[in-house]
Amino acid sequence: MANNPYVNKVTANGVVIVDLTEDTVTPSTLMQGYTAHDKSGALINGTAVSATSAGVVTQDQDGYLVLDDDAPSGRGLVYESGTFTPTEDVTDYAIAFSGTHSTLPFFAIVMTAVDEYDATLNSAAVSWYTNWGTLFGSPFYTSTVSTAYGDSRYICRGSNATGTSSSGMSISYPDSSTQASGKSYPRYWVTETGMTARSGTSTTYFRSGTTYRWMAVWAPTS
Amino acid sequence: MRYYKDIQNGFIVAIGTGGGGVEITESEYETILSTISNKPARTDTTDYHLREDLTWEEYERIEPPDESEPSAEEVVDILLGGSDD
Repeated sequence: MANNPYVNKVTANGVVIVDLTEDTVTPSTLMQGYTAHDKSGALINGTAVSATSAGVVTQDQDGYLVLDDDAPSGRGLVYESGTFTPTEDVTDYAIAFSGTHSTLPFFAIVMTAVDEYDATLNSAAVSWYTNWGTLFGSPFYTSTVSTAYGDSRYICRGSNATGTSSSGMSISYPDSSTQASGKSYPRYWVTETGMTARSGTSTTYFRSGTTYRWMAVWAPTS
Repeated sequence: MRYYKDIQNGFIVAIGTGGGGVEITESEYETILSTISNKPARTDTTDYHLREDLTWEEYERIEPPDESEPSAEEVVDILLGGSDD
């Protein structure tokens, strides 16, 4: 056995008792907080962080937002997504998150359920994403979430009924009377029909029979 | 994938995927979606609620203006006994 200070194979009377030489475990594939022996027999400490059930969103080399259900949560923005189809026209709709989050999402998007990688939709989403990166440090900021969502006009307005947790949120667009002067508002609503005035006001609504896809994004967890 | 229906006051107000609502099967989701896609056309004054049995209940959307309603001046005249002189 050449230059291996560890024991990775044990034989007795020609019979293999223990054989680690074909093991594939590595620090990056072993969960953080656990230990094991790799194929050399060396003791290793896991560094992997568990992925959330909803995955993370990152940008690919072309600048497109990519949803990755397999990436460790510490490597990107945690997201949840879903759809809703109202049976009647409504001015807002409350969505519920399936996971537990310590903050409100710092951005969210609602679109009609066309291909989410459609160039137009993705361009708007990337612009939005980039704005946040510019404001709070790109590509992923981790320390200013509370500041970010402290001004609810910057995210899809509303939250859950109490406004103090993030088990869900109500989605509606800030009309001109509630927008801060001089602020540029990312286009939260990216739909095929765009924002539609109702009864001569700036209130938007979701149309019955149209399926909307939503995605909410949180800072990385670690 | 989790499917749900969102029920308020006995009516299905939405269906969706993700958290929330009452969980349903994919088959039920597709059935409701098909029902929604065949919703009767609304008018300026009426729309439809979707009952849980997947039938539509018509309701009045906007109070129609009452063209015969008297003006404020006419109401005063009526209260004062009229001024048809």
